Parts: sequence; C-alpha cells; structure tokens
Amino acid sequence: MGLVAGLLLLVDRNSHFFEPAKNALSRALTPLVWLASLPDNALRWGENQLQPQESVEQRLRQLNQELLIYKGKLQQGVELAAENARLRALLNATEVLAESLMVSEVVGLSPNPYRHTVTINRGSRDGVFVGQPVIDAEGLVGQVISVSEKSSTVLTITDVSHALPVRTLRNGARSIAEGTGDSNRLRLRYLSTTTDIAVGDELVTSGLGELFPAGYPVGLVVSIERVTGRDFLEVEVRPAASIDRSHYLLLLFNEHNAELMSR
Amino acid sequence: MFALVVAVPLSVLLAIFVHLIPAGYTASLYSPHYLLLVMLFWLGRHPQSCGLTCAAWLGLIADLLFGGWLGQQMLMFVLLGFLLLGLGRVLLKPTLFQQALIAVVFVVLAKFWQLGWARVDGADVAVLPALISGLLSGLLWPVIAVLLEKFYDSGAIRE
Repeated sequence: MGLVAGLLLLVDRNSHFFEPAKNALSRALTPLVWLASLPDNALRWGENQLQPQESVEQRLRQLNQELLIYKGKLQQGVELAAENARLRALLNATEVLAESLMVSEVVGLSPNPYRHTVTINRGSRDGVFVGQPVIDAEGLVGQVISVSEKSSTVLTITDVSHALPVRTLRNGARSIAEGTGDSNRLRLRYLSTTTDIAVGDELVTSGLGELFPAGYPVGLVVSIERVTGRDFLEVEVRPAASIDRSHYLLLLFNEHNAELMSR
Repeated sequence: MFALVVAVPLSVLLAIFVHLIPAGYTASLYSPHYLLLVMLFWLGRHPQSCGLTCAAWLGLIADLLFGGWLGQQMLMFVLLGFLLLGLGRVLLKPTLFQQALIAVVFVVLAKFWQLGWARVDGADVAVLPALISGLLSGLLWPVIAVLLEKFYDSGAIRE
C-alpha cells in the first residue's frame, strides 16, 4: 500500500497524468461543498432577518448614497478611459482591459490550509473559463483553475503555486508577486537592492503575460528587508483583496483572455 | 442497526462534511484532522475489517479532499495506520486518555507531513498551528470516540 502511495506521489508530482481524474473526482465533491456551506449561508440569512427594520433602512440609505457617489466617479472614469484609449492609440500601444463582470458567490473554501482555493457558484454554463481573472471589491483574488457546469475552482494569489507580474503604482517598477501560503501575505521576487520601492507602495497588475488585465490592485508593501549577501530585496506585501473573507467575487471577462485560454 | 459497511462510510462522509464547512484558511490551520481521527477509531476498533487497505482508501479520499499531490495523504495514512496496528499489539486496551494522547501524536505527525510538503513547495508556514491542531484533536477525541463507539455498539457491527 505504501509503495502504491509512493508511486502515485511520484507520478503526480512529475506529470499531469492524474489531473483529469483528480478534477473529475473533485467535481464530484461539489454537492457536498454546497451542502457544507449551507449552515454558513443560513447563519448569514438569519443575521439579516434578525436585523431591525430601522437598521436595514439606514443601511439601504447608506448604500444608495454610496451608489450615487460611485456613479458620479464612473462618469469621470469613462471620460478618463476614453482619453487613455486615445493616447494609447496614438502611441500604438495595447492594453488588456476587462470588458464585463459577473458576480459570483463563494460556496466553499479548500479544507487544506496550505492550498488556497475557493469554490464559486458559476461554471461553464455561465461562460466561465480556465485562467479567468477573479477580483473582489478591494482587489485581485486569483484565477479560475477548473470549471464544471455549475461551479468553478479559483486559485487565490496567496497560494504558494501562484505568481503574477505586478508594478508599483508610484513609479512603475516591475516585479513578480508570489503566494506564500499565508492568506495575508505575498512576497515580491527579483527586486534588486537598488530598486526604488518603499513601505506603503501600492501594487497593481502590470498586464504582462496578458492573463490579468492591467491596473487592478494587488496589494500594499508592508515591509522591505535588505539581507546582506543577497542580490534581491525581501519584500512583503499585504493583499488588497480580502482573500478568505469575501463572500462575493467578480469574474472578469474580456475576449482577448478567452481567446488566449481557448488556444 | 448499522453494519460496518454503512457505519465506516457514513462516519467518513460526516468527517468530510465537517472538513468542508468554510471556516477560512487561518482557522483550518488550527482545525483537527477529522478524517484521520475517524481512521484512527476504525483501525483501532476493527482492524480485521478496516485495516491498511481501509487506511489507504481514506488517505486517497483525503488527497482528493485537500487537493494536494495524489498519494501524499495516502502514504501518510498508510504509515500511521501501520504504526497504529503495531501499537495495538502493545497497548491491548488503551484508556480514553491514552487514546487521546495517541490521537495528539498522530495528528501532529500528519500535520507536520502536510507542513513539510508545503515547505518543499515554497510555502512560508509556521509550526505552532500544527501543534495546536494536534492538541485540539486530542481534546476532541473523547467526543468522537464516544459517538463512534455508540455506532460501533449499535447492532450488527460487533460480531
């Protein structure tokens, strides 16, 4: 038995042979994932039901005001986007931009604390595809890694196997943000000791690699360490998104990404 | 009432269900290893029917549930099962306290195994949550053991 397990481990670590079977069996767990999320959903529903009418009305008023503010900002944003597109056209430059969004609900979290994936209630029937970027209200959450008809699995940016190209908002310095296995921490790779980076710098997706659209918040630099004898800085980043707290996520759609992934 | 062929899968299904309740990554670092506790119970109580093959299957289920490399949990479950069966020959009738102590050690070993693989993959993870998870599993053991014992005593299971 031990030999069989060891053999399985060896083959799975070095090839993708079992990937289809693993995906199919994981998908079989989806109903159970949905069932396990029911107590949490019931609790949330109960909390909402128990709220006094006044508090609900106050919250509604607050949300309406916020909506008005965002709509106002969006009008300015449309003008800026158009101006940006004109300038880019003049420079003959292209940039991947998200064209539409779809709201999805988190129905499950990976029970393995060292593997950061979430299950969402949108699948292939909603047009979800592997490699699709996912964000929440604050920033980038991750990308879709497997899709079934009614649900999908999202690998978050904090997973140890995830890395993405980023740039600092202040001066455009590029780097790679890697997951650490800690849902509150990312690290930056390959930043030379002379790079202009400071605590508090905001990081956004750089758009390189064409998987993630440019300009989405990734995180905030919280510490920088210069280790003597090393060529690169040790930079810690706090993710902008609430990786394991967000209940609603947004799927980003753009034709370019869908085409890239279907190839 | 419940035959072993029903009781084991049912308890495994319950363990999977508890593992799947979304609690957040930080909470899951500290949570007990329910599936391993179920394996420890059945291997300790019914080694003739639920032996190393049973441990291997449970390990494979854990591999699919936790989404790591296939065989990672299976190998650990088989090794721990082998250890438990060996221990069963020395400790013939362990008290509930001794069982809880064994559960602590086994869960800590299992968590260290998981943690070790995570470190090999480049994760920057702490050791303390694994120890706390082991302790919590030990504290939970009497409850799990008593509940499963009722299953075990409830009819066709005990020959």
